[in-house]
Amino acid sequence: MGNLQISESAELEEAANGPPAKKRKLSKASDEVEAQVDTKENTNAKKRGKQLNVFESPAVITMESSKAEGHVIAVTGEDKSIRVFEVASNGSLKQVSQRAMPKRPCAVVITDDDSTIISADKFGDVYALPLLPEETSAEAPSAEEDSKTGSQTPEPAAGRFFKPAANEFTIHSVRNRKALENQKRQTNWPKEKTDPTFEHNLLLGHVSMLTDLLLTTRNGRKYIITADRDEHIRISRGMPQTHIIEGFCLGHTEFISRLCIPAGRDDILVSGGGEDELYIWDWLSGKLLSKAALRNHVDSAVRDASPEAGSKKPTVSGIYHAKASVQDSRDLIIVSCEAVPALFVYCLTAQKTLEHHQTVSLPGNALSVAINTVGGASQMLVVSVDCIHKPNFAKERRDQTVPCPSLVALSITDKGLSEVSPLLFAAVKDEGAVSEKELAKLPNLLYNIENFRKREGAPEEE
Amino acid sequence: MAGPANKRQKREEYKSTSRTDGTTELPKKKFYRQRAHANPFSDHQLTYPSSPDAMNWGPYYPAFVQQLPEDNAPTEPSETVDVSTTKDDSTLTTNQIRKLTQDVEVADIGCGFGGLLVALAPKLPNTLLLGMEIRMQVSEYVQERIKALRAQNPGTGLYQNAACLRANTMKFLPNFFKKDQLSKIFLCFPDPHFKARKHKARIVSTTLNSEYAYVVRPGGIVYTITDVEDLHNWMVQHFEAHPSFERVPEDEQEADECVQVMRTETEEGKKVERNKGPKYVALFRRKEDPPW
Ligand SMILES: C[S@@+](CC[C@H](N)C(=O)[O-])C[C@H]1O[C@@H](n2cnc3c(N)ncnc32)[C@H](O)[C@@H]1O
Repeated sequence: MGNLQISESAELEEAANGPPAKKRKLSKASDEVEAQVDTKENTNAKKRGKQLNVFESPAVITMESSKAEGHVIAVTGEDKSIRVFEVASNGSLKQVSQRAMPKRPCAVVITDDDSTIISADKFGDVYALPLLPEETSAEAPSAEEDSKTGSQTPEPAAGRFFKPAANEFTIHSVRNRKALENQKRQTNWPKEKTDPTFEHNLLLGHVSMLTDLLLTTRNGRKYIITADRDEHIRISRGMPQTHIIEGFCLGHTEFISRLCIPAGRDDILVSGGGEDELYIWDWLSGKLLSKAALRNHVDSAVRDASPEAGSKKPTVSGIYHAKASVQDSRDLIIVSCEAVPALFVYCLTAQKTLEHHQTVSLPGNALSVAINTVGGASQMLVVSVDCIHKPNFAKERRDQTVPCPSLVALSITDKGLSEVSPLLFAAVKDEGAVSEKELAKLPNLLYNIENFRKREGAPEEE
Repeated sequence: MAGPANKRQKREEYKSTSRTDGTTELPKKKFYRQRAHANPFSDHQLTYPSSPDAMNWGPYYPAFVQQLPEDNAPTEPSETVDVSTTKDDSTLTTNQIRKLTQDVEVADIGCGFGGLLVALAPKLPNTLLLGMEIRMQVSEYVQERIKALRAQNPGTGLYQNAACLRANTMKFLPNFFKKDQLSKIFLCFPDPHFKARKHKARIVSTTLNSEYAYVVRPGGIVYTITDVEDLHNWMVQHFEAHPSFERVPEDEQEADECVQVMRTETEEGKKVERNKGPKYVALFRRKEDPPW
């Protein structure tokens, strides 16, 4: 059962970026879709055999596909790995590389030329690594190679092998002596042990957990935009000058979880996180243009689904852009929130404000959204729905005897979103029972953004 | 258990009885001691502005607040403003914030007990200096120290240009300063964090240097000093490797009046002096950004 989610998100991500095989698939009969899903499950988890079980192999936490549609990259959380899969013409996936990063990646993107993966991690660092590792990557890169490949925020070569040589004679304060004593108690040097041996260049870093990452181009210049749990949106120059910070978009008062630059409106950035509002920025100048209410729409969606549910702070899990046709002047911004059974559709106006257009209610909590856009026209939106937990709830299970579609397809027209058929995708068959213990882990996997929220009244250090 | 509670009680007692407004008596350090290390990665209960524009600097530099035409009778600033109670600016909107006549231009990062600030303030009377310290008690001590010094020198404007606030600079520097705002940053006797695992806690790193480059204007200087040779080498390597900085040559370094102050006036520097330890100094100039 748990596997459902993973395969779905795999499907969705690919549909979003539109490899031809998947595009065709969207309009195909549901039995074929099912076959595809099975193929992937088998590739994804060869060793699992028939008894599919999401928890035996690391769970995929985020995915991306290359522009040329030949590759899919997936991040598995438990082993901090970036995995690259080749997409075969029949849509099946074959893993061709697995690289364990120094810290768990939170967001990954592929550069426009498909050459490089950019990964933002839990400790705030952003790395660039080639889409596929060099054949001879078994050796550790030498210091010269490091500088040749142009670490974008150059680290001193000697820094890697830094060993403190302080001793009692070079230390003059109680404070430092204590630090040295601590150091002596430490027997090994984990940094060297865990340093990856494959090519990876540090581009930039925050001292905070990174939550989202965008690459964009404006006036012919490339930028990297990063968002963190401490309310910062940072604008850095693109490669190879990523050490230069051009500016910040500051004003959020809670964590930021998602960023979106609408295609064709690339001066605008929409951001959301743990706040009651969405923010709209002129990101290059760092100027806040407007805010759009989210909380009231979430509240009414929540009330519609379960009248007894109280008001809760929204936790934005996705911000997406769609446009019904190239001619249509309206840009739609579609927002999902954790443990909320609805999508919130806004129009991005010419005045650069977001106007709430519609709320689309769903049979279960929205998990992930994919939009199929061809030549600037968005045709279909597919959203995966949590069939295990009750609408509005992250932990409480729903009655499993009542059927619930795991995917809902919506068509995108100049009027907004309208439901096509919840049955376009048949629910993936449940293969093998998942134990209670494993099911209990699901909420953490599906709803982890809420954890970014800072706890009030965290203890003060003495 | 009685120990710490007792200590806290004494501390509160001292603060409420002896630290009255307008006191000229310098604060006693023993009531402001705090465990040596604060974790720069944890959330704490920090107060910080959501952006530099949202920062209400008035209470920190009351003598530099812009006078509005309707302010016919300006009051004695140092007596009316209590930094410790007006710190939270969250209730003020950006338009309610009284602007300063000039921006802060010098930051002492990890200022400790404020020796450098207090020594530099009279030497740079036309510049606003800010000490930033993560340990709450220590930052309060510096605030009290500056208040007492201002009260000791009424009418002179002395020490009006120095202030201290509690901040975790590793996370929130851009919340306080705009791009190119600072002309000088001091990093005096930073915590060495010897363990390799803890290197990310160092105040100088590859990625943090980009933030220093962001807030320091081209031509501005980052000053470093330490008694730990390894840390000195670490800082030199990381700043030299960073394309936004270049090392200031020694003759220029020694001609800089701030360098002498930095060597002798910080609390850590004095300890090293007493122990006849070495002091390693290095200065780095912020270069112009390359075209792109
Ligand atoms: C060894 S003391 C040096 C104090 C002072 N600069 C001197 O020379 O006397 C280092 C100081 O940096 C402070 N500190 C460490 N990390 C910090 C951070 N992230 N933000 C602000 N202060 C920090 C510590 O609390 C400590 O007071």
